[in-house]
Order: sequence, then C-alpha cells, then structure tokens
Amino acid sequence: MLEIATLAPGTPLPAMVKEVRQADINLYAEASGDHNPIHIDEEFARGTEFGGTIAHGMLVMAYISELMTIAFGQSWLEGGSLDIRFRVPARPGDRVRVSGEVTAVSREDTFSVVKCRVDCRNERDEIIINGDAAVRVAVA
Amino acid sequence: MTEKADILEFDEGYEFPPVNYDLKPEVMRDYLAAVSDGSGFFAAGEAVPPTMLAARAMISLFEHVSLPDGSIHLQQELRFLKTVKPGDTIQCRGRISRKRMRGRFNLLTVELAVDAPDGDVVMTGKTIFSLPGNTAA
Repeated sequence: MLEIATLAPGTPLPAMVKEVRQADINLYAEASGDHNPIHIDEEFARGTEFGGTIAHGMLVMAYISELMTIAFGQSWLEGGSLDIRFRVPARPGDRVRVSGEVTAVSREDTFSVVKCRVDCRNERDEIIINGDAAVRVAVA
Repeated sequence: MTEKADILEFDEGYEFPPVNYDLKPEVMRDYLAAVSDGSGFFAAGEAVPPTMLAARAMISLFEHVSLPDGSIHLQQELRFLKTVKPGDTIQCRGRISRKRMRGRFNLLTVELAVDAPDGDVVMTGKTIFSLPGNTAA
C-alpha cells in the first residue's frame, strides 16, 4: 500500500497490465448476471457495430478498483469513490494498461483525502475508460 | 416467462422493485477469476469486491425491465461506504433520476444503492445510459 504521508500531486499509482480473454468475459457474465449477447455471443456480436464481442465495461472498471485497492487497501473499500466514463470497448485479446496518478491531497486532523486520475488504455493507447477516483484515509 | 417492460415506459422518479441477492462465495470466486484480481485482498473471504456489488446491483434492476438493443453504458459513479462479506444478503435499490433526449437518443440516469443485512448503506452510485429511440417522456 502507498504511504499516505509521501503522496503529492503527480505521484503515480502502481500500474498494471491485464489481458482481456473471452473466457474471462464469459465467466464475468456468469458471476455478474450480465448475459448481454454483445459480450458472449460471437455470432451475434459480429452483426453489430462492434464486429465482435466486447468486454463488459464494469469488468474493465474492476481493474481500476483493483489498482485503488492495492494502493489504499481497506480505506478504498470503505471510503472510496469513482467517477468514470466508458470511451471505447475492450476486446478479447486486448492488453489493458491500468494506471493513475495522484492529483490532490488534502490533510485534516483525523483523515486525508487523496484524489487521483485513473485510466485504462489498450495497446493502441486508446482510452477505454478514464475518470477520477478519491479515497478518504484515516490518519493512524 | 413474463415479458419485461421497456425502461423507456417509465418516468423520472420511477423506483425499481428492491431485489435481494445472496453473495455466494463460489460466485465471488468466479468474479475474482474473471477480473483476474491480483490484489489478494479478498482471498481471506472478509470482504466482497465493491465492484461486484455494483455489477450485481445494476443487473438486479433489470430483472423486470429491459434496455433496448443499442443501449450504451456511458458513465458510472460509485461510492463505497462499508464492506459486506461473502454469504451476506444484500438488497439492491434503484430509481430513474433523470431522463432526457439528446438527438435521437435518450439519456437515462439511474441512481443505485446497496444495503447490508443490518440495513446500512454499503454502496451508492449513478449510472448513465444512452438508449436509442425517440420516445422520451
């Protein structure tokens, strides 16, 4: 986890790379209950504007949440917020770079609020999702 | 099987029927595998990933209401307030808070909330969809 006292605007969050696989999309459909054929039916998806299956936006959003969980731990789970936009779809085979950086830190007596810019990009550097995250961290 | 109602039939302020959902440990394991979670934070089974709550909350709203083909998930806000554990039963609530036309599309904003078994709110959120069609209220 990140040491809150050392954070300042521009501090990068620990980036990671995820590979989007159709098997994971299928499993996500089962676990989330979202069985929209655009995600899991190749024949159906070929006839759409996307030309093939795409990952659930919420699946990719989970990568951002993992990034924030690794960075801020329990504070993220009990005091985090996300505001993101879905830009382009992630497709099976995409390697998604998940990254972020601190944009602001405000420190109070008993807690700090850390604001971050976050995004997921594909190999072509297209933004799949991006937005802002914030987390309230209690001062030990 | 009962046919689902088109979401565009409902006006601003419509509240979706609350839906209870059991957070089964085996489903959480599948979820963590699907998102290839490497945080290690949920392996001990002390908390459910908050994005899994969000995903289940959104899907539960559409148990009785359908989105038209061509609907696009544009934006998502989430606020995490408290954790729940695998095995808990959550209640998912939602309401249509805004419905607007933009060109030939409807922009629909749905507010979400998830309650813990003790009644505490564990997550809130706001989802914006773009829906094709010209039948906005």
